[in-house]
Amino acid sequence: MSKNNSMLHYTLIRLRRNYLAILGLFVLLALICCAVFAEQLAPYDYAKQDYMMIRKAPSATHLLGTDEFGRDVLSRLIFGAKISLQVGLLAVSISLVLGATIGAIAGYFGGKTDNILMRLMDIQMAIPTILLAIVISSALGPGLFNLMIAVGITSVPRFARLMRSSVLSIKGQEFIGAARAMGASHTRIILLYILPNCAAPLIVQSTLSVANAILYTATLSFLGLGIQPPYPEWGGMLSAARPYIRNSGYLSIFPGLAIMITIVALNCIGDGLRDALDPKQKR
Amino acid sequence: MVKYIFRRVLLLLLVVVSVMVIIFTILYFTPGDPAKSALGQDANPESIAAFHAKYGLDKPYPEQLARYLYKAIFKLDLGYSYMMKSPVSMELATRIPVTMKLAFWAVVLSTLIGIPLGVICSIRQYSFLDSLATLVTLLGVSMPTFWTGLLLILAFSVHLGWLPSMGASTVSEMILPIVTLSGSSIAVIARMTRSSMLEVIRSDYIRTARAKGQKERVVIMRHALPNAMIPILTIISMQFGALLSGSIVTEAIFSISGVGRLMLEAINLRDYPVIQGGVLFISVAFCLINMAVDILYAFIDPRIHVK
Repeated sequence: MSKNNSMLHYTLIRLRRNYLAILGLFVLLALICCAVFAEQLAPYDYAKQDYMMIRKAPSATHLLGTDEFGRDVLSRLIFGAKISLQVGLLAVSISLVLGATIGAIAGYFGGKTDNILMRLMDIQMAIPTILLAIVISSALGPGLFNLMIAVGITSVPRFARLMRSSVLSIKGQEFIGAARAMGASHTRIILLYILPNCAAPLIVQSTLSVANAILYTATLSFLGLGIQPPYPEWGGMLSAARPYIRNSGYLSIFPGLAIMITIVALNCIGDGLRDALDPKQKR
Repeated sequence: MVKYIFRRVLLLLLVVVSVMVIIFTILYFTPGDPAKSALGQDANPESIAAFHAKYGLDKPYPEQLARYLYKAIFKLDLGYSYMMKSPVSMELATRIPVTMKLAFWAVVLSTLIGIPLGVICSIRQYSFLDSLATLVTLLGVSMPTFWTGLLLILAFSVHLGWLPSMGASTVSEMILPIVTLSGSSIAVIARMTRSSMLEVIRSDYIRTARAKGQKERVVIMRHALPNAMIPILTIISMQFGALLSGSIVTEAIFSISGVGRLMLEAINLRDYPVIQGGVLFISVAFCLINMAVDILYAFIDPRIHVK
């Protein structure tokens, strides 16, 4: 365990030197706070309509203005953080669990199993990811949970390939042979000896995948295939703002800014983690 | 070499058939009856049954799948659109040129900007320009395509009034969609070029080239860039797939009647044959490009096809 601790320690030291990653971390923390304390932070209810305040530009009472139903844009953005982070995290959990399992089985057992599983992954990769997400989510129908599945399935191959290559590089090492000689089962070897050693690339990929998942979620909602109104999803808000782009341009700006800030933060953290976890790979 | 190309083509066919099976299966198990979307929710049972019989929707799953595959592969018949009452292949044929034109110019634009940008950054690593470009490309990969499009419309159509916000038939109409499409690709290509170049610039043969007194420009253009090209080519070919599927979003924003918009309409109307055709087109185009690039590598770098 002490080796693991020291590795974590050094990783943190290296991460601390990366200002962009630290900045990203702070932004992410702020977003998580928004998501968790949305009810307390939001000045208004996200669904409360006020027909006296339709499409009012940003002002002191409504910091980011109001939308076509007189709803407060800032409050909707804060609640939107909740939805985006939820979908992002759960979608990536789905792809992580499925992808890592497939990759571990393929890499560990090799041979025919490996061939079949990885060809399946190749076939899935022949369909561009966003296209697949669109088809799956149109098949499952709109809704938060279906969206998570659709977005989650699309990045399974990426995790599977990553896991497989990590497993292949670890499988041949002596300590795996030692574990096997001591009579450890396949499951035990994979879970206790191989998985911890594959953690670094999986963590990096997960961070970057959350960014992708949030981007896909917003895209699908923008196309009307994701989360339906009145839920304040950022992409859906932009889609609703389109007819008013001539007179109320600010409606098309703030939700996009929220998406971009979130993704920039996650990308910075992901890049920072990659550099920190893998010091050999210099930039 | 011929054997390698033959194997790749065979693999491509296998992948295409599998993609068809997957998409067909996903859509087959989709809840919702296309007959009801085509004929209206309160259509009488007889006309629904007639609709099912006409398009073979009353047959069991294996039979439908087999018939679809047989027709598509041996007769190039992708079925009939339920809504437009015309063959899917004909609908696609009128839409494909529009989408391809946009994707092609977007690839050209992002390559022409992305590669030089990446090269300049790698030569002047850690300079002000490099930091600025790194920041801009970071924003570029993080911006959702549809937001880029909306911002461009807001700036150039609404405020400045320079460019139209709809269509893609004239040159001025095509500018905004192409810029929208290439935005993130420029960033992706620039980042890849930079990191690939940085790796090559550190290698021994570059030092040798410099040591023998070669001009810096020649060192970069003749010795470094060609050797850094393989990952860059890979990412460009990957971007092509992203651009083709990104056309769904771009075409929706700019009201362009290409394959993407056709598919989006088909999704809303449950017009399954059209969705299948659209996905098939994009996947085949994507695979063809990837295959072409892979074969190109084997020509550039003889070490590759040995495996």
